[in-house]
Amino acid sequence: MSHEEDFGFRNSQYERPNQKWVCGRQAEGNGCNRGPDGRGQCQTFSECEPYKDGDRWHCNRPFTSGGKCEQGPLADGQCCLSRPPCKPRVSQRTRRGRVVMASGFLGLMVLAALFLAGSDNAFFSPGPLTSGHANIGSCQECHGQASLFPSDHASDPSLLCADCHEFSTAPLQAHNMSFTATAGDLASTGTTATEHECRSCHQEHDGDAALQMAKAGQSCSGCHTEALEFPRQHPAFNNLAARPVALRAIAFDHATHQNRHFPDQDQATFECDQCHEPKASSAGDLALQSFEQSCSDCHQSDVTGEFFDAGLMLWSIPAIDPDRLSGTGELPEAVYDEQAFVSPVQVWLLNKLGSAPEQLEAMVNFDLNPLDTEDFTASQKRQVEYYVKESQALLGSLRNPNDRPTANEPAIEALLAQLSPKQMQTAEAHWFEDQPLPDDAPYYGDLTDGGTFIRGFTLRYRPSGHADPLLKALIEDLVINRANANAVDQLLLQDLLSEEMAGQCGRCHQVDRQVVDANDLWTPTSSASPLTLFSHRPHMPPLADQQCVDCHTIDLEEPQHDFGQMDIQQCGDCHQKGKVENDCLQCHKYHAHPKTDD
Amino acid sequence: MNQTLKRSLKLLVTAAALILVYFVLRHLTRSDFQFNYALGWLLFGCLLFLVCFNWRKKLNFLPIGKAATWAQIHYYLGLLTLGLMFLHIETLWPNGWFERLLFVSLSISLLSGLMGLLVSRIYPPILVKRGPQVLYERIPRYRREVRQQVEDLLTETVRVTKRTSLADFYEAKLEPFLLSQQNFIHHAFDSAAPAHYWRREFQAIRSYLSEGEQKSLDQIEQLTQRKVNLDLNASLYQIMRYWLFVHIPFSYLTLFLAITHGIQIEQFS
Repeated sequence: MSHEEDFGFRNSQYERPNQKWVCGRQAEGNGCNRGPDGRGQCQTFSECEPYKDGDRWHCNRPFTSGGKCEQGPLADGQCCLSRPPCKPRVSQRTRRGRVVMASGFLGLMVLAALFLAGSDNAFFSPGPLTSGHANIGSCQECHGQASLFPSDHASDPSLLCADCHEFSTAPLQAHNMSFTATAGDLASTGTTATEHECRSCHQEHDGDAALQMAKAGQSCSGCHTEALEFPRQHPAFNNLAARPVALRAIAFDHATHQNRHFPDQDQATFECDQCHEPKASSAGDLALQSFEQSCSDCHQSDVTGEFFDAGLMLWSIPAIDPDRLSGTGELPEAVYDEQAFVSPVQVWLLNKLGSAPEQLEAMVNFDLNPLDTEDFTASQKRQVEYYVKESQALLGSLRNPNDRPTANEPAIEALLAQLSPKQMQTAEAHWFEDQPLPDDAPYYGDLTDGGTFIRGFTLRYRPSGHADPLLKALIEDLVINRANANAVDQLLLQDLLSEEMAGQCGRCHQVDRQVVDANDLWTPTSSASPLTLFSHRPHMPPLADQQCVDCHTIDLEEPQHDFGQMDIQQCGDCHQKGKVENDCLQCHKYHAHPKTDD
Repeated sequence: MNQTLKRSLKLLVTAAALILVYFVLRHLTRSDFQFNYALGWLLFGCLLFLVCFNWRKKLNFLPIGKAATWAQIHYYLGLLTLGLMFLHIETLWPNGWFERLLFVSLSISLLSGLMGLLVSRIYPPILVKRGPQVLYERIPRYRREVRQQVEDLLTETVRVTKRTSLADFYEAKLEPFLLSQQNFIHHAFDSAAPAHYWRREFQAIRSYLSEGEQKSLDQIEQLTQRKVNLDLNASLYQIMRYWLFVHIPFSYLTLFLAITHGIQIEQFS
């Protein structure tokens, strides 16, 4: 050990690195032995502090400072070698503590200043918002006022999104699909929950990249915990590209057309692009050409055939025995010869304009035959009386331009537009005042753009042709609101889709499928699953060396399908690791139903 | 098992712990948000434990394990925290200004800690090799003693030889060197340049001195080399002590910012 390392009373000074203050002369190598007091005051004014032994004062200067001096203490006991006081310095340890405190205090002050100064709290924002949210001015607009106690939104943050982004179905349900699942169901699909927060995939404050779907594998595998590498571990396809004909928007059977109908046509060939326009579609998917381009050559007669000129009965005066029903008024004699049916449209309109379905029950349950009141119960007679009175009141209202009913529903508006005051005045005069029809009264043969005409004790509507606006509006209204349909609604829908209805819409348009909006009702959709997302465009020739029939094979053996089932390996040949991308989002989407603001 | 192997094993365990944390949290959480949320709390727990090391040193009377054990845990948990930080932020540069401040503060704290760990491993063997070692608090006194001894020696030499060559040399070159600590950067990198420099200087002047002066010069050269060694001790001790002036304030600042960040997340996310 070197002499610098010597410790001992005679060899080394007493070091005090842990104390708050150190001698001011220590840095010069001339520190005192005693050191400053706890408050940083120098307490060494001489080389030593003499002690008294008997009547004599003795020097006790430390050995490290030279030991006893030659002169010894003064007579009054003071040291003879005075030492000017130093200015003690804080120790290194204390300085470090002060730096910690100062930096902490400074940091606190800076944060407080930034928090108070910026009204938009830009400093505390975790990052830029997406461009769609750029107009949001302050944190509070989404997050509410910060508080030590969580608000409703803080406890369920996805409600923040649902405040503005309304979904047509449950926003927090997994895939926005309303379903209930038991633990067993979840286990069978490899999922763990039925509810999902928006931020599980969409994290804000990351610029425009934030609302992009999170990394596909991670987001999906959050719930679908089973490994699903495509194509090796993907479940087998179920009806992919082979949806049963009965589930399609249009009852078009490819197999029957190819093998039965087209061979009967001279020189005609059955080609995909006769009906489908893959390259012209903005969505990149298979667009169906119009009825006139694809179907009318053969199917025009189905629309404008046998029942077309009879039209849709909008109003009728059925025969009612005035002797058996009080208060119905007298009807023209000719009514009893005509034997007109009750109009389902008229009953539906009465219902829509305020009459309860129960009050019209007799008009529905008696199959709309001419009213023979002989077998009616007392209750049914009251319903018929009610129907007659309400019909007369409505007729009076419709013929008066200043007293016409109004409605916000497109279907009712379209119907009321056809029941014009002039036409209703003419009809009333013809039916009840026995006046002949005027010369300019519309004749059904002239109504090529659609319109109403009077035939006997009925007012009828002749459609304009395929996709007639009134028929379309009525069917859309009845199908979309089918969940809340009453007996009157069901009666009219059944009537409109019957094969004896003008236009025979129900013969091709299979509206009894599950649909959620008008587009799904009339337009064929390419996917059987709402979670599947597929674009034909990248797969079409010449971009890919493929033909339609490579995937869509006609299958005559399967009665419910016209196309054969696709095998997963048909996709997996290209979509696999090392070739074309094969993550979940290549073919699937999370949201089964779009936002209402989309 | 030698020290290098032990350290390698500890590093492997730390890396394995990081991988284990990643996969366990991924398995337990259903989304990136939940993963980051859980990771954030884990990171905060690590920070708190790291700061506890400083408190442990203040509360050395408590029977809560040996300081050496705490130090080992502190080192490797710090490395684990560095990995957790990058897992948590998922990028090299966060988007928000506050998060950037937190990131910078934590980075400085972790990197300064890493530097402290390195210097505490590298410098002590240098001090042993280049000895003798001295207590840091005593260095000013020893430096003063060296200067005093050189001056006493010069006074005696001038008195005996009646020549001032050595005194002139002292006044021109040696005195500024002996008055204060010198060559900090050289010593920080364990450079022998200062020692060589003075060796060359003494060699250069030796031929101009008388025999009596040369004897004094030998003693002055020894004292000068001792001063070089004192400077080396002072420089290395200063680095080993003053890195804490960065590490500890930034550690507390990070803890404070992390608490603010946690409140933000709990309130707003």
